[in-house]
Amino acid sequence: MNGFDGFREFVQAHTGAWSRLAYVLAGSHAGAEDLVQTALLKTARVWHRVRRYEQPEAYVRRAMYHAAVSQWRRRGEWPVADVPDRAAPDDPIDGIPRRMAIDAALAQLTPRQRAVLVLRFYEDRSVAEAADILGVTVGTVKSQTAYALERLRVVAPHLVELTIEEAGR
Amino acid sequence: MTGLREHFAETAASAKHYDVTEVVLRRTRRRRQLTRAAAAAAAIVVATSAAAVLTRSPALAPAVTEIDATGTATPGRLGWLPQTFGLPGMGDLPVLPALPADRGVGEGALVYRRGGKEALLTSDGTSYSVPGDVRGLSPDGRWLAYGAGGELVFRCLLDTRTRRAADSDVAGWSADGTRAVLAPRMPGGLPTPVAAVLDPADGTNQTLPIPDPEWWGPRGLSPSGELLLTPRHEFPSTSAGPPAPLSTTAQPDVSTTGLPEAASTTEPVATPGKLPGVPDDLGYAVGFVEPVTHKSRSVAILSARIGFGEQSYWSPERLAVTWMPDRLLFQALTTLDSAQSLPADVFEIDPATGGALRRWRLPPVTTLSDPFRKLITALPDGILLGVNDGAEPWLSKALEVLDPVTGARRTVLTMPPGAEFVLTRGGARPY
Repeated sequence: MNGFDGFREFVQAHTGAWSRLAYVLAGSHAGAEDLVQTALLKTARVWHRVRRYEQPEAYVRRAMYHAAVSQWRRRGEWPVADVPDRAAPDDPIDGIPRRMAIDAALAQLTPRQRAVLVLRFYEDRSVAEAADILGVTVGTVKSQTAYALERLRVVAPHLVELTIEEAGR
Repeated sequence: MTGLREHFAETAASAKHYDVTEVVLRRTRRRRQLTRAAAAAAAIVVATSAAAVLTRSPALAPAVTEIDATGTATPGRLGWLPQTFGLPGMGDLPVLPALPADRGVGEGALVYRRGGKEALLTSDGTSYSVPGDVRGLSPDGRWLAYGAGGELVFRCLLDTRTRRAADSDVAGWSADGTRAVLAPRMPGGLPTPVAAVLDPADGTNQTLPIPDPEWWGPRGLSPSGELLLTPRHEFPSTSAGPPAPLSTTAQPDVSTTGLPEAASTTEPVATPGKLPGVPDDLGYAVGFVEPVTHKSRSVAILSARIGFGEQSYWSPERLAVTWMPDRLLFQALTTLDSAQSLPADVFEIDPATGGALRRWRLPPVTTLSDPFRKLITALPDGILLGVNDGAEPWLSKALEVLDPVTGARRTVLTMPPGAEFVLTRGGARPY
């Protein structure tokens, strides 16, 4: 008994999903790895308690979101606004610039705005679920979603049909 | 057509497998060992101190003095700060008078935002609109710093003097409040490689290099005139993870030696421009740059030495670091069950050793709905704290002054509805 019983297995079972979420949230591999590590460090410190939760993996996801949007994190601590280091192989000819444009536009959002979009459009969470995970009100999620989509329209006017389409869902 | 959902899905498919399990376990075990070692060391100190008393031997080094500051705040008043202030109706916002260019307005007390516009409140309770984005208010209330026209403008509030500097953030003030520490704004948000120390009264200034600016940023001046630095990032573990780019001076391997005897790395570093930090699971660090020789040093503030539990930690993020008068004040963060981190107790740190001298226990924060207190600065009146109402977006709704001796708190300002607190004397804006 070392206080970490089952932790390694728990992490191994979920690292794939957490890695994908972290990369979508951070937009860069370095930022994503930092997010996963930060969330797991928090989890490991209270593993004796978290392991008894009904859904311990939810704690890690929540920690990841909070690390991403933490108001205490200084600007630029991890590269939300970095140029994404994702390659775009084998795209249709018009797909490459389009994806790059979306990446660049997303990089202009605040961490919280990006997190809200990820919750709503990557995880398909409801507004209420997103509010619960972020620890904010339903109204805040709605307004942040609206702000984020509006900002995407401003920084990338050519994506207007994209954001209108998403807002209408 | 690529929608957001499809875009996020494609992005996710490009993720790597970030396997950090062993790093996490190693760092958590090491932190746990240090916490236990600190508890054991404390027990030894207590036992030895008791024996010393019995044998009338000189006392050992003093332990951290804990001061209970959890009581209910009582009404109070500061001479320079109105207890509250009236606001004209929203429709009257455009008539808020502009800061006059032909006369002084008296010492400043507070900067607030209303309707998206920033205003200065003077000690006599008058509000003025500010012709730019406010970046600092000196601890004595004499100088207001704001950005306008691509420059940083210092405006003396007692007369009409202004001092202009290159576009910069005000990173902090000297302990006596007469000099400002500037962090020049860099293209693309890159870290600034230098800090400028400016006396806005006479324009004298000095530029000081920042060792490893990617990792360290300016925060103020020590009472002896050294440039104070704080980390911009959490330092990675020295045993795993990305290489620590600063550590040309070897860090003690505390995982094998237990509690280190000395927490201070006071020797000038071997390679100019390199300044070691402390992995975040072990603690925090501050750096100093000597103004004449430009030699730098760092001091480790190890969590285990000051009695941190597993849910408390320092943060390199923008929390106040201030002097009282020659000791550093820090605020710790605590992790809630919800995984959110919020400000917790305030510590007084000896900048020579990194050891804690006093700890003020603030009202506990156990949920996101609990009001929490943010350390703003230390003034002759006491330790200034911003208090919110426990509701998102957690803006300060009141200011409290903490008596450093008794722990008593007094509410000295209540923000009127519709006004958002921005900063007050000695407070610096995040940059």
